[in-house]
Amino acid sequence: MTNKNKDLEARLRAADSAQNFNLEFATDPIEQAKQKAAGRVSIGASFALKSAAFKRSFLAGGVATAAATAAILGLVVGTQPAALISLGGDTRGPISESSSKVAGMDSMALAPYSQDEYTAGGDLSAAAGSGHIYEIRPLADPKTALSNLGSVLGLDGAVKSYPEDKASLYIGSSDYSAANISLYTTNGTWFYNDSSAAPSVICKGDAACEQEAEVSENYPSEQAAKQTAAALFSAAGPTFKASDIKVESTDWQLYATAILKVEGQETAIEWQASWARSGKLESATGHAVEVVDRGSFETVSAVTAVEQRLREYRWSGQMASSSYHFNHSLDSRSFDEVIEPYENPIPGANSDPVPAETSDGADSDPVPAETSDGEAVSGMVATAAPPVSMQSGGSEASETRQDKIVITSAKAALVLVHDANGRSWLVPGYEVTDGHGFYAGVISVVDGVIELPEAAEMIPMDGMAVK
Amino acid sequence: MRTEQQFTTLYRESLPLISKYLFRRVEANQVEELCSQVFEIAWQKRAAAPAGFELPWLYRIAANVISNHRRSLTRETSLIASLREPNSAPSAESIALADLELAEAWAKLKPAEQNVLALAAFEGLGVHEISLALGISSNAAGVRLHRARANLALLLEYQE
Repeated sequence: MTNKNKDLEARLRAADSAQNFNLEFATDPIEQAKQKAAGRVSIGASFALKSAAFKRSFLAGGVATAAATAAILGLVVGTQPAALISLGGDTRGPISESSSKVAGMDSMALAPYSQDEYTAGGDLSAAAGSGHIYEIRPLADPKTALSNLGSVLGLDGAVKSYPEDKASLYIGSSDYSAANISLYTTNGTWFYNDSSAAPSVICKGDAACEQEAEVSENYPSEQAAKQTAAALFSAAGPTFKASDIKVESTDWQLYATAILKVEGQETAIEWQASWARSGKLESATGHAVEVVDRGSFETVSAVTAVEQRLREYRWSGQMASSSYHFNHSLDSRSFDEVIEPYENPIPGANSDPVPAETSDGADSDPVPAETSDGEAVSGMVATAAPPVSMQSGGSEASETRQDKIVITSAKAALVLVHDANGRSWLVPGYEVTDGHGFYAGVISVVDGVIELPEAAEMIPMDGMAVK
Repeated sequence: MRTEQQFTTLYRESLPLISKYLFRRVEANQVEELCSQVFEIAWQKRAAAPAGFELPWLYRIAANVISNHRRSLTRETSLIASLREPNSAPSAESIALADLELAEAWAKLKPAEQNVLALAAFEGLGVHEISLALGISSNAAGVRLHRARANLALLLEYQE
């Protein structure tokens, strides 16, 4: 390693946030792991317990035809005597109940700090409006829902609950060693996994870990995948047709995805199934829920949403994945190039190639020798200027760290939020963009309908705490 | 094959390192829970631990646990999210309090570059250990590390 690289890594180590970190565990994790193994509370049970946040995050969803299950109130409600929704502390979804062992650090990690200034462009509407709020309600009989899902998957055993997590029900393997489907009753999200569908990875001695065996591609046909996915996704809650399913494949998996549509719009709520190269269904997730219309509510204008709410993270909502406009078409077989196009942010960077890495990371070429000055660069495409998505707030932008973002488009949409109880809601909002790569979802319902969580303490880059 | 007592000792010695690894990459209040997950899996799968390279193997388990955790927080349930390479690298925010300039450059690295560079600089792993921790060949690890160092150096030079 060159001196330059040594300096670089020394600088990284000096910035290591964990240098003096020492955690006192409430329970010894090693003994806990041993006891759980001995007590037959296996990985499967643990997974279900620990992955509660994962499950909660998947949020419940409804059908393309929300009206079928909606109880339409039909009233435009302006001022509410009490908030309809009380949002969780982190609008991205409920987090673990674990207590913080390092007081004050969690809020710093969760609350995005921004001094950016958002301005509404000339075309944005200043007119207020109204829109419906939809509750994503778990089905009343989760055991039946899980049984129905299990039947489609060929899992016909009894519905059980985990000893340590009564809110989770499951059928199948309890130790995660074979097929298992579980359902989180709090929000109706279900998750299927079959670890036997793909060959395991083994490590021999000091050799690199390798896949047990090469498996030839044996994916189901696109139509078969669509039909299987539609049957599975429709087994509890919403109904999907094969034509509602989108199928994509990579070198290692085939995916089938369905997106909840409400009021004809795509939402952030999705179902997904994936097949391993063996052709076996490897995993799937979805939501045993119904969509309940909770009425129509007044909304603020796009101008107000942009200029008064966009800077405040507590008003953020999740947009449909299709709203994140990628500049490249999805060609999943050229993963590295398409999903993560690498643009060198450095103007005029020169290129001193080293062996290209293959998409699976298995290079056949030896590790490149660094040049004497350690300046070798590769894998970068020189560009004339950094990608521009924001206008600098001044010539000393790096010091002020404030950017002015002009929002040029605000499209009315239903954005996804999570309440304090882990339930999910679709609420009126705007999908906004500056046309240069900045996208965000912001809630538009008037004040009073949604109770915001208490503002988290945020610590800006200079370490000065603000409220 | 190691005895249970040997695994207990080895895992206990690794506990502070795994805790720090997690602390660099997740919210502080999640470290304990995720650490428990890592060792539950590690205990169940101890027969598969490569002798002499248990630590990078533990880092690999931890990386998977972090990836799942991050997916849960970001609410990314889309196809595109599922295709994206799992990211278990330290965030720029974890560096920013100590070195803002470095954090800005770090944020511009690809997740794969952050991952490999973090394992070298923060966890102190060599190329072969990194390859085990990431589940890639040693050559691939070497190439990635080389690129990551070069790109970070360039980004820092540009900022200066």
